[in-house]
Amino acid sequence: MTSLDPAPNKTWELSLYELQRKPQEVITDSTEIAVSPRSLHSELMCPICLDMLKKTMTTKECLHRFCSDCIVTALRSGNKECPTCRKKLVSKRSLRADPNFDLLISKIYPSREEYEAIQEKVMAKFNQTQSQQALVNSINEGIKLQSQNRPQRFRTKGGGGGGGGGGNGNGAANVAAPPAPGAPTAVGRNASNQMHVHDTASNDSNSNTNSIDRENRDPGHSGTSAASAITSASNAAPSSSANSGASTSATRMQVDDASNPPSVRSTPSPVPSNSSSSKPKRAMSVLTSERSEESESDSQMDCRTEGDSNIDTEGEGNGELGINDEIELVFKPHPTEMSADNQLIRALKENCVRYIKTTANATVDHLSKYLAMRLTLDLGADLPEACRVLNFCIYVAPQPQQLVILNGNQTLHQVNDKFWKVNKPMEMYYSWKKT
Amino acid sequence: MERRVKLKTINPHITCKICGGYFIDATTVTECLHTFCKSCLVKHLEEKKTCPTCDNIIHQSHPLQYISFDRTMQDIVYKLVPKLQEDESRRERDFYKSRNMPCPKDITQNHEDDNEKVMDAHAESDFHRLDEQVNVCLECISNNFKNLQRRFIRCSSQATITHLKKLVAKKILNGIEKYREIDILCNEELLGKDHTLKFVYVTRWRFRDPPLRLQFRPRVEL
Repeated sequence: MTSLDPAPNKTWELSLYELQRKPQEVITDSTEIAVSPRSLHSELMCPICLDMLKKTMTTKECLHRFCSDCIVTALRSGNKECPTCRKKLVSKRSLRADPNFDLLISKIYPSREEYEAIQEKVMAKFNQTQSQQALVNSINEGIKLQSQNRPQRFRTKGGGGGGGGGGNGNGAANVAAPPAPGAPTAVGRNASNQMHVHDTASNDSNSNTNSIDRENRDPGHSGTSAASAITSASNAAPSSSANSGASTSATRMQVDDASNPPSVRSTPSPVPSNSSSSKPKRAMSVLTSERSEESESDSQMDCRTEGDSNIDTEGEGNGELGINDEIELVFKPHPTEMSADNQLIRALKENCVRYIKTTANATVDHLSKYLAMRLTLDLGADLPEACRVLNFCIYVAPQPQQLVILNGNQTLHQVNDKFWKVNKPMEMYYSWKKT
Repeated sequence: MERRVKLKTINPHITCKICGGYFIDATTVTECLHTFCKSCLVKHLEEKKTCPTCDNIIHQSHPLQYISFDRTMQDIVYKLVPKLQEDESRRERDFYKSRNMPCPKDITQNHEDDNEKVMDAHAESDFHRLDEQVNVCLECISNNFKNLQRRFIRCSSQATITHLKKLVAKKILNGIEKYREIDILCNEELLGKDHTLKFVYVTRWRFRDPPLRLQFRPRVEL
């Protein structure tokens, strides 16, 4: 029984149909209806004693009905709320006797003793059937588990990623032999235990099947879902433009905050001093990380990375900075000026789309210089000689197919307020101009 | 098991005293527990302030605040009287159809559907940005694989080892479907495919400095 009683101050407005509704004709011939105890059980049952209502008492606030003795006992034991919906129910003064309901019950079931006799007969039959079914289920489950155990053991020996511990779930669970059938209670308990084991085994096989189906059905989709959970410092640019849209936030790159002069800040930062002290640490960490990418064998640099970083401080600072100061960008080549036959695009290949997460106080000039430096580092010897000195124009796309060139000293915060306004990574385009 | 009852004997308890028909949208006066149809009772209370059955005053100025939907009684009526619910629904739809108006219940249904669409769209755009983030360094400990060009990753702590395997497979093996050929270890200990990075960090890297250092290698058949 689900109760969705309206609030006390709800307006009782009538719809057009209700204003002119005709009454439903009452059936006055000798029509008989077959009343099954099961069908009306939820309406005529006391939720406290789970038996038919006796001397019905109804709560005024929510119109839930209980036996008189049951609700009085419940209120006396200190529960000052409706047992069904927990609305406030202070005392017996919030209850009303419901003689109409009692009369209705007496018309449906004239003899209460007869009703109770039927109930007992049903329960006895149910218990007998349940006992036999439990025994049969127990035997079947035992046979199934025995047959499943042999292939799993063979597979465990032959292959799989076992060994080393670490919480690996590849090992098969040991299944005990089914016990001999005994008393009905004991049989029921054993059956439930074996059912639990069987569910575990079937869950494992189900997950394996689902994994295989997912791989076979749509490899691209699983790639997208995997990419959406991972933020990486590497470039991940799918070859087609549709995929690049789907993985807009797949990878991010931290832009060095040290390159941002303090005088550029237009508004004083509301971040407290603890978080502001963590920013130089993170900047140093990024610097060290980038340096260690170039010389991976330098273990001393790795130690410095470990020493400089502190995940707790960084977590706190990142949480606060993420709300106020950080912004995400998606950098794409200009569709017309940087077409497929451009030298730089050919050299970049699939790395022409870049994903950046940086402070909102950075300016467009910072982005241009960052792109120049980054592409020089990435391409290295592959870069043609004529492109060694790079300069970029930065565009933003407020509408599709509409590109607005940006002024060099605008901050990303101003660009976001003026052109973007959507809670998504800002799409920007770069084009190359020769010095 | 079933009991046959004449509807004639039950009718006095499930009919509205105002209109003489069966209860439709049964509404009960909470003070005296007398039940009527919703439309009949609301019309009655617009003119009078008393209960139609017992003539007791419900409230001097706001009697509508002391009546309530009686869903239990309505369910009983719908179950006892055959075809009453279908007939009432059909009458309502025919009424609105004859006037070329949308049925209010259908409007409510469509409104709920619209809410679901908006929620779905919003759910898609999260991309785990607001999750707790974890810093990871992925290193290769085998000669058969080349190192990742960029080893440092910052991702949601809810990402699992399978996600990292797929990333490594995409970067090194040129195919995300080959992620099963990779093992990922921490402190030279093999990690399960469903472990989240939060779990790995808390259980194996709690007292060490970030980033969480993980190693990958080709899968070893035991």
